[in-house]
Amino acid sequence: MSHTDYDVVIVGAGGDGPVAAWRLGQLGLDVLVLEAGPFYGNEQWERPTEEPGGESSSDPADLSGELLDEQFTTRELEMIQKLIFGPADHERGFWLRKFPQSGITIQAAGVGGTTLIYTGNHPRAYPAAIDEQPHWPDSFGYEDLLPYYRRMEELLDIQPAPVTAKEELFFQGAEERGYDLVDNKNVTAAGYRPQPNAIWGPDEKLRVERRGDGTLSRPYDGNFRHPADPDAVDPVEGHTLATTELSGNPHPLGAPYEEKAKRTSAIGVVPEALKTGNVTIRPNAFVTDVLVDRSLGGNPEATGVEFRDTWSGDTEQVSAGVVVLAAGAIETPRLWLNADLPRNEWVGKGMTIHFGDNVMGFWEEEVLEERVGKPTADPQEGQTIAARLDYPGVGMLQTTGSYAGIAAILGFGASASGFTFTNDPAEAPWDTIGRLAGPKLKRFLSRYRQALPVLVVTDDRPHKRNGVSVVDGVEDEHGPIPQVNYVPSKGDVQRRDELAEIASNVLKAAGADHVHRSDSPATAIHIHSTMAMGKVVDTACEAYDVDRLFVADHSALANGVGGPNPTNTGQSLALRTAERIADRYFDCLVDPIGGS
Amino acid sequence: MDEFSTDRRSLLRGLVAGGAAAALPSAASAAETAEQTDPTTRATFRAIVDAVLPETPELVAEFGPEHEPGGLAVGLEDYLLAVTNSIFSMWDAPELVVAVGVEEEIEAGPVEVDISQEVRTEQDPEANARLAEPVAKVCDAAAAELLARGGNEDAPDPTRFEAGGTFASLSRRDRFRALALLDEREVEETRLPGPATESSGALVPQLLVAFTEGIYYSEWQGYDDISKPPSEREFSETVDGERLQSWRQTDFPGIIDGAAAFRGYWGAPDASLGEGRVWKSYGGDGDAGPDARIYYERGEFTDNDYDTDGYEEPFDTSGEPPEDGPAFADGDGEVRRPEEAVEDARENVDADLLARTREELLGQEVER
Repeated sequence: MSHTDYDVVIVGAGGDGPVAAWRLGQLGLDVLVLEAGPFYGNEQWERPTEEPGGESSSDPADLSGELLDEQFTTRELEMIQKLIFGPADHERGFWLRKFPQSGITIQAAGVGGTTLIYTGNHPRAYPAAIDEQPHWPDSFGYEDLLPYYRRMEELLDIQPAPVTAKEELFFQGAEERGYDLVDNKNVTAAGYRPQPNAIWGPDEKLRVERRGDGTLSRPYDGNFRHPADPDAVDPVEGHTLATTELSGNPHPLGAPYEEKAKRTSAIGVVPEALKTGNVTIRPNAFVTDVLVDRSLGGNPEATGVEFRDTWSGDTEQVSAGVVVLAAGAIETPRLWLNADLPRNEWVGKGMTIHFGDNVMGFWEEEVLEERVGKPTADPQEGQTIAARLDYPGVGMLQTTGSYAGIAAILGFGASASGFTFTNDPAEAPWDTIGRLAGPKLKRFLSRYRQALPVLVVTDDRPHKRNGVSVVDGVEDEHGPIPQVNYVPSKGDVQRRDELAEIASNVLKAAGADHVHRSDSPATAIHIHSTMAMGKVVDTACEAYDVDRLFVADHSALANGVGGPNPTNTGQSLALRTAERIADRYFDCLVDPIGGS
Repeated sequence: MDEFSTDRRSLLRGLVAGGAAAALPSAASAAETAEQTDPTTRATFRAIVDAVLPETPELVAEFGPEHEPGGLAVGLEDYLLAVTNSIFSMWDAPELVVAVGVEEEIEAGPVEVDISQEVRTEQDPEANARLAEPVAKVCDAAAAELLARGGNEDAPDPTRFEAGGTFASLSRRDRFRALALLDEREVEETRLPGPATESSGALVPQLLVAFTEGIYYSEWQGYDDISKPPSEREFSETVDGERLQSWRQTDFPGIIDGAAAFRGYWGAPDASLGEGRVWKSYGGDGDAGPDARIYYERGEFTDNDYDTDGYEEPFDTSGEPPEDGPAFADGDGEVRRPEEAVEDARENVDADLLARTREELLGQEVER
């Protein structure tokens, strides 16, 4: 880094931090982004999990599609180990978060954060979750987000996801259950639709040909590589229809960095941020303290941060006119609680996690032949999550493709109900429920290609008991570790049960002969509302109790946005927060996206 | 074993707690780590793999010979041990020590058996938390409780696995029953004002079952040595000329760079989604609604006007936890420091738990 004094320092280059960096850089501010994990696909770090490499990157020419292809092998076990929240060094395990019972948090470390492993889904919030549910301040509405949604959707080129066999099956089931096709962005009624995805659509060459008699053929005979690759045979652009989103998806191979189909914040936003010429990203830098000036009377004022280099263990400080916390809904409150900042009773509290579950259907080969023209549903093909069912007030469902290892964990490996043999689902809409192992597991997995998992995503509500706390003495190298608590309410459980029943009915309507419900333990993938607007931060996302300290990640969302995947809303709010910062402290807001 | 009543109170905990640490040599590779593991712990991990992914000769007639071998045939237990010992980083955190506290009080009519023990594993403060031994002890304690409660369906057999402990002596289905006891721990345990770092016993079956399944069905078998740096790892989709064992069992086609699987875009004539030529339409003969089509072109979503005035909450919004729902901790439990947790675990410590269980319940010779 060339200096230690910036206009703005942003803690975290996850899904949202780079969005704020891009807009602030565009407005002429000097921005440093500190990221705990490594920087993949960057020439400063050729082997980012094996050696310290360079210090920081501020030049878009550093970005390398070729390195990303090497590092993102799409082998699921290797990529999970590489990307789940932990230090860059491959010899070291994950950073521990304490979760009671058998729940876990799933986040990724690295520039791009959890968008490195996300499935690219970018629906908007349900309008009613912001305007009718009681969690957001009255002075903020869905309407305030609209211009920012539009700008992010334009930047990331959000488009309806394509249909492969597994989506065709789900849509058939949804139609047969009488759900309407939703073609709207602002969803106020239940219905089904293709996912609005931040993933470029597939190349025409990958088309399945359908003859008049309904028989199918696949004429493509190339190697799915990008036209820029000299080894490409019959090159393609856009998504290649391998379900590798959860394992990093660098496709098409051979594409330049910015031409990768899945628009993670690392692919879709970071290059724009670097191109402003005002943004520096320093990976392997774990922020452990927020520096404040208390000499002014009134609120303390943020003046910078202290961070630790995860390779060398050295600590450094940088100063800034404004500090932005964008470390995610677990680490942002942890950092606040570990820094010497005023106690606000809502810091870390009110966490929502979309209280998920998994419902999996299995088909007979003849039924699949009749329904989709071949004996397999093929969960390894298509965009990973490309079909959804919306239900404002309750949550959503989404089909989930994957490779076999993740399918086994999702469907059978973990359950809050214990083993299947401890449960009797005679009266339930599903045929089996619980954790499955042994010969029965092998029987089910032998039908992996005739299976389709559906994720249940619940509109769980913020409860003060749920969230992140820390305790002195339970520490890792970055201070007291986050301790995560989650107890759903009666309503949350009812909503999840309702969605699981709908999923089961849709799968059976689509011809599934067996439906298995996991009853997953509390697993936090979509994590929000731990530094909620109206409770910890104001409508500009500046902390009530610390001046010049802002939050620009999903923790500032006041609830779980109704159940839709939160990335679009988190990024759009971060974009708005960047404009509020520029306006409030630097007087440099020109051409505001959302009005001034 | 009938004299043991199931009317009892018991606590079973895993702890990650503070205390003094002693250095161990860094675990360099999966094989080495496995070698350092004591034989009883190894046997427990073998017994887990054997139960979760068993050899299944009964599937051969129905599915084919490739469905017979299980996890032990590919040495999954060694890797499961390595993963258990490397999943959590504890670098530069010398105060972190892993310990397991087990307290058992079993009321059996006039007889009260009090069996407790604590297991501590020395840790390398500059590597990862070494959890295999504590996890194995939790399994053994669960097995001991299953036997004490008379919950086993088959007679334990100490010869099932060489050097096996109580857990490894159980039949496959009884091993699951023992792990299921840990699931039940959720209620009793989490209602306690739990030590801050207490990990529920319920995490053990979740991890052991989920990890074993996820690893087995992943690409794991295809690495020459997965402990090597990623840039030096050799990976192949075949071993000894055959595709990976689990992939043959799932018909997973292997790591693909793409698939010519593109049918089109879902839409309808009166919707803004789907345009142009129709790839497939549904005739209304029960397949799908008469309007649904797969089109060649994608169309777009409409940025519609919206009105939320009619919004209603279909379900309870009180925020109260369910009365009879799944067991979840209430979040108001007092948070305590780890040393208190260790003190708790040390109370009533009887390091002789497993030895006595084996002698009394299994009739094994135990060396003191």
